[in-house]
Amino acid sequence: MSSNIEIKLTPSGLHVPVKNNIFLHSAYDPIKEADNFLEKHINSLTTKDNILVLGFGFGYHIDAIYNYCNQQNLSPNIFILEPDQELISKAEELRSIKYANLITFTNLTDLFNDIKFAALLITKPYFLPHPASIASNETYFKNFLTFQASQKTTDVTKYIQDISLSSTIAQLENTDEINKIFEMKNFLSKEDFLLCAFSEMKKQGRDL
Amino acid sequence: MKKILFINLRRIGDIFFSTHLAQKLKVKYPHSSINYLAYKESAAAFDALTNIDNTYLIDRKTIITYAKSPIFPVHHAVNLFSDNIKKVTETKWDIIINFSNDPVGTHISSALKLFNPGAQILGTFHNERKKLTDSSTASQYLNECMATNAYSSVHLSDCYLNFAEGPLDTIKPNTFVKINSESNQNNFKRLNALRTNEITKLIGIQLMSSSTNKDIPMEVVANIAKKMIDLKIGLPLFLISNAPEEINYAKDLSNFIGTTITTISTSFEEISSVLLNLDLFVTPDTSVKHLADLLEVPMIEFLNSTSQLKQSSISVNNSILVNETKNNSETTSDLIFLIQKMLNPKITKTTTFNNSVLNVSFNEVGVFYNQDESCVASSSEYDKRFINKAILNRVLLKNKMELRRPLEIQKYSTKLFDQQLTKLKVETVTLSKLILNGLRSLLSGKSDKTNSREFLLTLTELLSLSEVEGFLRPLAINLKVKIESISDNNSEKNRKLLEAFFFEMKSQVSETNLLIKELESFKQSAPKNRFMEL
Repeated sequence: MSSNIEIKLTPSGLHVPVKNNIFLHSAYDPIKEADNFLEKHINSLTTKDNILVLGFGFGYHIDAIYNYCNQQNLSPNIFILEPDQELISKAEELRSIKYANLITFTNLTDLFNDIKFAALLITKPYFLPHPASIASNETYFKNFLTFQASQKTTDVTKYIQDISLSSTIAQLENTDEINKIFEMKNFLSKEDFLLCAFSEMKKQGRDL
Repeated sequence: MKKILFINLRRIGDIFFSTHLAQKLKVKYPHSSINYLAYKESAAAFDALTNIDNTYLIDRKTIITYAKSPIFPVHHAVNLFSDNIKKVTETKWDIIINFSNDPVGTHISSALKLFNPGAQILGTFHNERKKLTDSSTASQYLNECMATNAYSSVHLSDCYLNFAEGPLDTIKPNTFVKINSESNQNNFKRLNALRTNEITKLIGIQLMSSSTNKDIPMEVVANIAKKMIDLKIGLPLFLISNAPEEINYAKDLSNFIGTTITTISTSFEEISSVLLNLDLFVTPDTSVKHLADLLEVPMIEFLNSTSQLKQSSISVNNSILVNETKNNSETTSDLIFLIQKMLNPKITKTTTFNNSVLNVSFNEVGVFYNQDESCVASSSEYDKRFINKAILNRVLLKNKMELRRPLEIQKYSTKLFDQQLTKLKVETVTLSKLILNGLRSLLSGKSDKTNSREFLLTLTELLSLSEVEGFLRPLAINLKVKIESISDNNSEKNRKLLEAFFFEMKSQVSETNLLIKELESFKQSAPKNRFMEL
């Protein structure tokens, strides 16, 4: 993902990136700004196991979260979604920082196809949007928040690990047809029956 | 060694309950391995069980979340599902039991039948042509009648144990319940310390079930707890899990009673040793009830509806109180009496009993719930239940053993039983006429349009009986299933098949007539109607 990043220095000598003419942190005091940002989300930090920060910037707000969690003996898992690899590299270089759990997919389909990311979303993490990062990459984050997966079988069969199930699904026009296998076919194979079981399970509610 | 797989995609209590059949199979096939396919959310059941060789879990909740959310591509759900059942599909099974009898379990059974062509399937499955197939008449009854009847006349254990053939009694002791001697000793010491010189008995009360409809009303729980202490009957110990809603419920109960209550919060791993150290356990229909039943802990089961009797306690020393009055004060009084009676069988009732109390017993045809002598039978439900059970066993399963009269018919033979018997007679006459009409058309040799139309009308009327509740509905279902299995295009061959089905049904009706005579003899030999005296 190409971006137009400029680096500015605050009066106290801190590096602040400007991307697409948007300051990603305060030009005067990014640390104080990060503390203010943190204030708004403190309750969620104490109650949620997983936090997903949308936008990395130069990481001042991430520092504030980590510092607070250390002080309070909290240990939520903090994940950061930032598609701009160049921004991350510059922050690591200029600020000598290194964070784990950075998610850098530029392609949203690839992101949602990633089982680790899907497993994170299943836990209903607390979304913590960094407003300046989102403003500087509005299309990406808007598409992220409104993403819908493709229903085309051609888009999913290559990711299905069981070859027999994959080839059974490949015969269908779209993935919705998995729910109709029982009615559509006169003879059912073992893979058909497994997909029928899968489809029946989908009909169930959250509670047994 | 036989490899046996239980597909049990229901709740924790159903997993406990299924070990009755597992026990039976283990006796029949001593060198077998018992394995389970279950949902991950029921996995805690296996903490209380032992002697299960492998447990395969389906992470149902995650699969559903992946599958239902539009943000996730479907392959996440498919991959997780196929990964969860991979080892099950890769294993060669000798016996596959569709115990949960639900659509998911039935499709998995159908797939496994194709993975294991030589395997015996117990329960329901589809063949490759999508035909729903029942492994036995008991399985057919379970699948077609129990799921749709407003009440269930036959206990699930009778159907399930029939899967394995042979006698219908349960096998004791159940070797699948995990007994931890260290935990037993600890709980013995812990609970024994609660006994005093004045109050020597410990009475466990299960506070919550899976549904508020099943729970013992809080007012009743509070009142029996107070009376137990006031009358020095025993110390009430409230069993709860670690779930926040159960902890909060216990707090609410404590506030309601106005004093501190003794709760025991325990996991499934430890609960057996708690139950074994109780003098009596009072519980609604819960998973813990099924575990206590396996452990043969003296128990009073509290039901809000007779519809739950299909899965009630099957330990012969236990009692079931059916909360028919829905009057908390009357129910409290009945329950207190029953608790005293369970602790001291010699005690006699001096006041009127308001709800029905059933005692668990077995006879040749399975589990019976007899009315307790000291309690009123206020519903025709028990008569219906008895007649339905007799039809399943005598007519459908062809068990030729003598029927023993249940206590309520011996002692209280009522107008209600008479009414049910009359209904059965009317149904039998209707069915006889239809069968004779059908046979007349089939045997006349005519193949003209009028004859065919008449036959079709008769057949339609007969099959419509499979849709309405009635004593002879299972016979109509039996015919429907047979007719649906016809797949040949040869009309002469099909006519012969229909003839055979009709003759078989005719013999079932003859058997029903014999049964009616036998049931009438119960009525005639019964003493005068004590029902009216109460």
